[in-house]
Amino acid sequence: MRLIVDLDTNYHGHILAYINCPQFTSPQPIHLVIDTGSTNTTLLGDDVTRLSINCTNLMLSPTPCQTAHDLVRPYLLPNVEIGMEVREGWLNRQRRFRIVEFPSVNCMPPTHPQFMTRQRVRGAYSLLGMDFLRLFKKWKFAGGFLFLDT
Amino acid sequence: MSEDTMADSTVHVEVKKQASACFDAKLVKTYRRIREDYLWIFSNEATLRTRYANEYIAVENKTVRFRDNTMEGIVSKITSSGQRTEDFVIEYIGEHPVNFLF
Repeated sequence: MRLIVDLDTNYHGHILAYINCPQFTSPQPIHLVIDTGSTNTTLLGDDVTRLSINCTNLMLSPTPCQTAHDLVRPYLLPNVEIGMEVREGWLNRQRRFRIVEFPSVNCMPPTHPQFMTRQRVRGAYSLLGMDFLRLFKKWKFAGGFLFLDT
Repeated sequence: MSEDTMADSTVHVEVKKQASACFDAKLVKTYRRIREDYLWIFSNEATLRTRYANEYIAVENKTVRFRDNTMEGIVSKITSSGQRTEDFVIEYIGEHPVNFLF
């Protein structure tokens, strides 16, 4: 399986995906940044607000997370599916929309709507962490893309 | 450290063999079109910054259809034209590029 990651001008890898969980009535589009510094896939505060995720009944993660700011304990959003396009088959020519099941993803506390970042691509994004990225053994940068192969 | 030991602190994710019914063909078609529009924004970022700095833009099929200073304003323009906001990539074009620090 091959995941083709779009690179921006700073060579950060971006994935457009759809996320679904029991709180949603239908899958919602989400913008994920490849983050090898993130242990688990994490929805950041702007996205938690944008997606109207209700954190009040969610459990807190038993282990805290070290962020660039400080130590935080994220919420755990259970039974999450994230769908994205991958390539499969001979020479990776076959386009398939694959669903990845996450027992849970981290949710940072929601951002107050008044303080949400104005920018979507650069601002409101979430993090695709090593729980998913570890599936890919081979990484290659070429032609404006990052190719991840299992 | 073995690979199994390293994986202990992470959630074990799984790629499903079959997609759920909610991820239907219509959603996949929309996904592909929106992704193309995101790629178009990435590759034309510098040009867009000179034309639409500090504005929201609504992109459909690699074309800027609407622009406004506020998110509310651009949503209003889209809905007033009888179209749906989910058919557009709505993007804020900052005056300067932004770097990441996680």
